[in-house]
Amino acid sequence: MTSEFKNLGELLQLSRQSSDFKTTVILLGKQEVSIFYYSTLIDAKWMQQHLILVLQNRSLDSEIKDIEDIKAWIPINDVEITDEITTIQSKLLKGYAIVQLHENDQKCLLVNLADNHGLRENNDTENEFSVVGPKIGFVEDLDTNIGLLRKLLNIPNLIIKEIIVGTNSKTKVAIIYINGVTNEQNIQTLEKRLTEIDYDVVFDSSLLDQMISDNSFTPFPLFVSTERRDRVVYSLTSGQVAVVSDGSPYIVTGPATLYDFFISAEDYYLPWILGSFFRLIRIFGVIFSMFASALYVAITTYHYEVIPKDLLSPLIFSRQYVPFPPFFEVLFLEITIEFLREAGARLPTKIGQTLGIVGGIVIGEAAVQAALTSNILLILVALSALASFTTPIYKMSNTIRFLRFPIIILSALWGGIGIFIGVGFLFVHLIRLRSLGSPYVVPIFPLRIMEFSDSFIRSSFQILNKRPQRLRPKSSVKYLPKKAVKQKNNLDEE
Amino acid sequence: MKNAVDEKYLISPFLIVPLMYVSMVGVGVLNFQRELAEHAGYNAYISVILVGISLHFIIWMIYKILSSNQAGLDITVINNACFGKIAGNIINLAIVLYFFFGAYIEYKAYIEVIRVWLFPAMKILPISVVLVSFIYYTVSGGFRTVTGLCFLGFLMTLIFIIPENLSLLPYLHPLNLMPLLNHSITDILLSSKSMLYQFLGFEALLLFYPFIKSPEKSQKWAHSMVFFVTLLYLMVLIVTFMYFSEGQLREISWPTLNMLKIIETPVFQRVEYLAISLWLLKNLSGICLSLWAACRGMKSVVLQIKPRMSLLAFLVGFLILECFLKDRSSFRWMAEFYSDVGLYFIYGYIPLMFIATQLRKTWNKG
Repeated sequence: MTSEFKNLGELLQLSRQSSDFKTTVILLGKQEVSIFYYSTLIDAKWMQQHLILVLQNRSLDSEIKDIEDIKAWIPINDVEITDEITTIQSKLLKGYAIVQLHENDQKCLLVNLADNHGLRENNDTENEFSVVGPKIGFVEDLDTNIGLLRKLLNIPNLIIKEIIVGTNSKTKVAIIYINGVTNEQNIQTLEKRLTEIDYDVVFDSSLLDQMISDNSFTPFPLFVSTERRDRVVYSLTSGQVAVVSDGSPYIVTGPATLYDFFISAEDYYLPWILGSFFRLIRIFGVIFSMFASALYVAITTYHYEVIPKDLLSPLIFSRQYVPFPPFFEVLFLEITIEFLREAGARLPTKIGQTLGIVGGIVIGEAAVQAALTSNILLILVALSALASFTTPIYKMSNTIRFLRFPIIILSALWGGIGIFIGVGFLFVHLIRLRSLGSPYVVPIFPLRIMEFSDSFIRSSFQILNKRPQRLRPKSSVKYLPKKAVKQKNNLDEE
Repeated sequence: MKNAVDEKYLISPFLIVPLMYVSMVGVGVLNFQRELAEHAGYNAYISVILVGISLHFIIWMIYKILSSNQAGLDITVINNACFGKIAGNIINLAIVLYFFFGAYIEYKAYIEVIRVWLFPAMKILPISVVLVSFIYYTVSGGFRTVTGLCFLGFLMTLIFIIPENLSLLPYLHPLNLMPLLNHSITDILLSSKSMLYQFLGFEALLLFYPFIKSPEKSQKWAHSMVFFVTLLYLMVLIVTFMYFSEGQLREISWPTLNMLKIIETPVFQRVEYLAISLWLLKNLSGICLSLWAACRGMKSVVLQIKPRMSLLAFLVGFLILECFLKDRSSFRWMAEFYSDVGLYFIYGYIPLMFIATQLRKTWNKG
């Protein structure tokens, strides 16, 4: 990093153009000392108590010869003397105050007075809610987030590597991994990709997520981004790498597989039978949500022979006054649901709820009454909308909502064949995808029988003691499985 | 000599299972029964067994041919080594064309099924363009992607084909099979020839062999797949024979699909529509595998064309053939020609290569 300023004077001169750049001159003995700072970045009270007051008190009984003298007085640990203009510039913008002894001194003292105002203290995991389990989420501050992780991962092996990204924002981005677990290849790839990013302002880790992804021509998220602490810690202990960006409450973990997006932290807090059941429900929900309306279009447009004879009459009855072909009927309802979702996401929560009721009940009911759609389709579309929201990771549920549209169009063109062309494209696309260089649909292709234990189902903790091999961890055993206690469950304990 | 394939493109030996499956089970499984019964009547099940046994020998020979070369190279290199540059490349070009036409016939046969069963009045060109772009997307993803699609096709049809046959059990007439042997050996051999046509496609092994990680481990899988697929054909055939009488079968073009008509589920009244749609993925994966083999073979023919270019050329060839080959008779002629060539390829060329490579091996040693 190079600075465009030759000396401190030039830097100060430019900075003075901003109204929040303040200069305080205090008299220490006979010496006039200047303090420069951005009032918006520092804690004024802190400066008053721990810098100015201390300096004034100490200067009463001792004389200042050199700037080194002052350094020893200040009761703040982050104090530094430097004459490097680049350091001064960057630290000034991070909430440090510059203490200059004489005018035109190049050497000056930097005191950390940064204030974290404007940040949330804590965050409930509202967007990735779970009934059971901790509700601690990340906030917009890097140090707090790393602290949160350290509290749960109490080992010195947790390594944080900091990189500065963003030409204008100079955002601190940290790569987090567990030494001796995570494969170095993944860390290096990630580090290389992060350092190669050339972008002005890093607003959120979701931006980084897209920039470091292996393939940008895909609707699928290639990294999991989550606000849940337990989730990140679980990924780290499995051998994944996490990326935290300052100012973002979401942490990105990778390399991810498709199934990671359908895993909820709650699966691990519930007994494994229930956890597996809910996972299967979620996956079924996704499949249903993607293909239900397409199947309706295909069957009612082309393959009406497929409808069982008992279902035929209710279907005809519900569709008899509908003037549109099934394709437009489906498109009309699907787009209505998309409007509702989008409006609900943009509006404040309270209005959003009202809107849901208005939209869902009034529009749906009226559309059937007006014979714009059949009520069987209304049920299907509403169900598939509901099913698409069972996906725990928001980014993935968006992807699924998007994918149904091409499939509906294909089914309107070629019926069942069209749907399977869609399935084929989808599957081949998924096979070709890679996350940090490792395959995306792992337990299915390449086939890894062992890893089925934690993908579609969540097996018991006795089986889950090994790290997934797809991540190529450096040590594969997480913990030793509890030896099965010999239980005499037979008749009256014999 | 070129280098062997890079480690990261290899597939594990087990994955030869879906590859063998999709190449041996073609769209023919929907209608092979009728042609088989044409000569040997209801004794045709013997033909299936005969072809199955002979293919075990062929697979064994293929593995011997390919492992005779230390570096694990494909057939094109061995051709060049055995017959010299020019003659070797002519043979290679013939192999490439063989795979290309194999893919095209599979494709055309499936389009035929769609036409007859689903959309009699459908315009073929738009769906062809979509299918061709799908094939391009898959094959350009490399061998691993092709294998992945084959895996999906394998799973999808397998979970379908066995319950389908089991649910027909209540409607069968086992006595249809009697008498067990009343046809001449010539008839049975003629049926065997049409049975071999169904199996054609597995020769792609000659080209994808170097892509298998530790290929010698895959041999047992290859053999068990030949066994399994033979069993599968046998099962479908016997179920068909017990379901239809011989006279009935002669009148039916797609016996497997006709049998499906009787099955009713609470959600689906006519299961064959689902079957045909499901079959799409398996068929496309077979086509992709053959085309991949053709592209791979093209790479080593004189001109050193980039596989992507040859793939594009092949697919454009598909569309052009689609436009000009409109009548069924010329397609039938092409399929029969392909079947004849396949017969010589399997039972002529491969044993010949087997002897040649074994002789070369001993000659080199001595």
